[in-house]
Amino acid sequence: MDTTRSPRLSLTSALLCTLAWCVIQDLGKEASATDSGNGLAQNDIVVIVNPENQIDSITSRDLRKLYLGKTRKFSKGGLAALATLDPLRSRFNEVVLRKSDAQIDSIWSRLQFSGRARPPTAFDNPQAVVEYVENTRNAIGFVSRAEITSAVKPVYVFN
Amino acid sequence: MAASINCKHACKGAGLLLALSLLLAPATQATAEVMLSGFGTLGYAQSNSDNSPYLRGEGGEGADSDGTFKVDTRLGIQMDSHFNERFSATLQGVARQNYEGNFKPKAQWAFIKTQLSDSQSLRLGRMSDPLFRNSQTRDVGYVSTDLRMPQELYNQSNLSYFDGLDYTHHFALGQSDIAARLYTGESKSTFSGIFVFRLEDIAGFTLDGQGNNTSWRLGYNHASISYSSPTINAAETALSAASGFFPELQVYADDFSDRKRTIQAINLGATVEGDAWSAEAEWLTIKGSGVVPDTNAWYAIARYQFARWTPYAYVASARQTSRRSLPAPSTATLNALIDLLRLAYLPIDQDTLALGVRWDFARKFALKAQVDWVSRASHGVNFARPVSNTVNNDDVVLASIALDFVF
Repeated sequence: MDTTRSPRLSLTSALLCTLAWCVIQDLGKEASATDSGNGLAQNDIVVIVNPENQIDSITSRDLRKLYLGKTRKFSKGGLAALATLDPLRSRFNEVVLRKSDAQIDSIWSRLQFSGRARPPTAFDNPQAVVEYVENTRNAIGFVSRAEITSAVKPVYVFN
Repeated sequence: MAASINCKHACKGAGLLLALSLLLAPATQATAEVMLSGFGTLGYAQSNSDNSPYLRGEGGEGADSDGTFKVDTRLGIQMDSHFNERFSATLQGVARQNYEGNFKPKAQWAFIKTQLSDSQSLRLGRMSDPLFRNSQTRDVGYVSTDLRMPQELYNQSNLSYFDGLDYTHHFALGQSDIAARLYTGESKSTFSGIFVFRLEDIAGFTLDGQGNNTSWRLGYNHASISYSSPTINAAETALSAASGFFPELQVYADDFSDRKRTIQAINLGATVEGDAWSAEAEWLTIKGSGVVPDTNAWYAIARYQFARWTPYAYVASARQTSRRSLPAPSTATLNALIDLLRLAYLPIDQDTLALGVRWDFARKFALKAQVDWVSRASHGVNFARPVSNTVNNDDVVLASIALDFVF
């Protein structure tokens, strides 16, 4: 072992130990955050499309394909215009897409910065999602059951 | 030859269309939806070796025992204009260290896209290098778990982008969604200021498949390569002159000539994902010509996600499969020439074992730390080329930390 290498390895070991400590600290925080999240999961969330859309229902598999950017097409034709609702985004990602928010951000960043697809349009209030779906022929979005109107078509429900 | 003519016309056409679309953009602003976004990395890397710095991309300042922010730091800005459901334009500028050691921004993407149908699209203009599975996002640290993509593969080509066109067709095959892509174009890239490569008649295809928990990629690329620079031209002149006295040098003089040569690359990659874990592997083989050697390279990476933490490990390897055997030393003059030739034909073998962790501590931010153990022959794939015939093949430990973000 030469003398120049030892300080580097010490630096590396110190870095890894610090990160290991951070992991242990953060895992504790994460566990409690998940517990409180489950407590909120009371209301149904409904996936909605424009009434002109040919589909009357959608499978969770097809929803995953659209919201993970694997396909842009609805099963009965038309290029989907995806919408997300920020307050319900994490539950949709976890329950339907089975991914963390960070994984979803990463997947859409990859598609966006490689010029392949534009990410879903993000809304922060449910009325805006309903209005967008109502006025956009190939739009698809999700809101809580209480927010849907007769101007949109429900195609999938989860809670 | 036909491909060459088509390509040149297409490239000029693409440039013209792009300019037109940009000129028309303000006029159609009432209907165009413009979106600005970006990505960046602030990275620091330090190695335990002062013999030859660890480089990435074109070159410039590398990481040695003094450490540097220049190897991994980059910033990209993208503007997407959506004119209607079928027509859009994308511009992306990226500032990363170039071979001169500065961060002068370059246009990485500049294309217009036409959605020909629900399943077919055509892009014209400048597009990112399609040679590797993830090369189109090689500067976007946030989208990958690892701190920097394995350089054994991703530093095999500094092509970075090409000007031309591509056509993509999406279709379903059983449970998989497939994107089949055909592309053609041309490119120029400079490597460490010594070599200027020009790639013409670029043609290739990629097939990207996505199942429920698997994805895969097959790619083939074919191009005419020519290279020139004052250094290369001087080497050819000297070798041609010397071959009058030493006929065995003629073959090396030919290697340095600026004629067009054919190179080919085949690329295979696959990913398998569970709920918390994923594994990915990629393999690349290049059939070179002249001073571009034949190489095989691969990597395999495994990741496991605990909440917002993702530890990972990868192994990567590159091997040069073509070797030049140099003439046996006979006279002092020939020996001096052979010594110079040996520098030009140094093998690029390199292996890396990397361990790291990614922490998604806030939305659209990730902090990563990685340690690489690298063994190499000479300058390997991405170490600074030695300036003398002293071969530096010591193992190197590299410690890196990076903050990635998108906006």
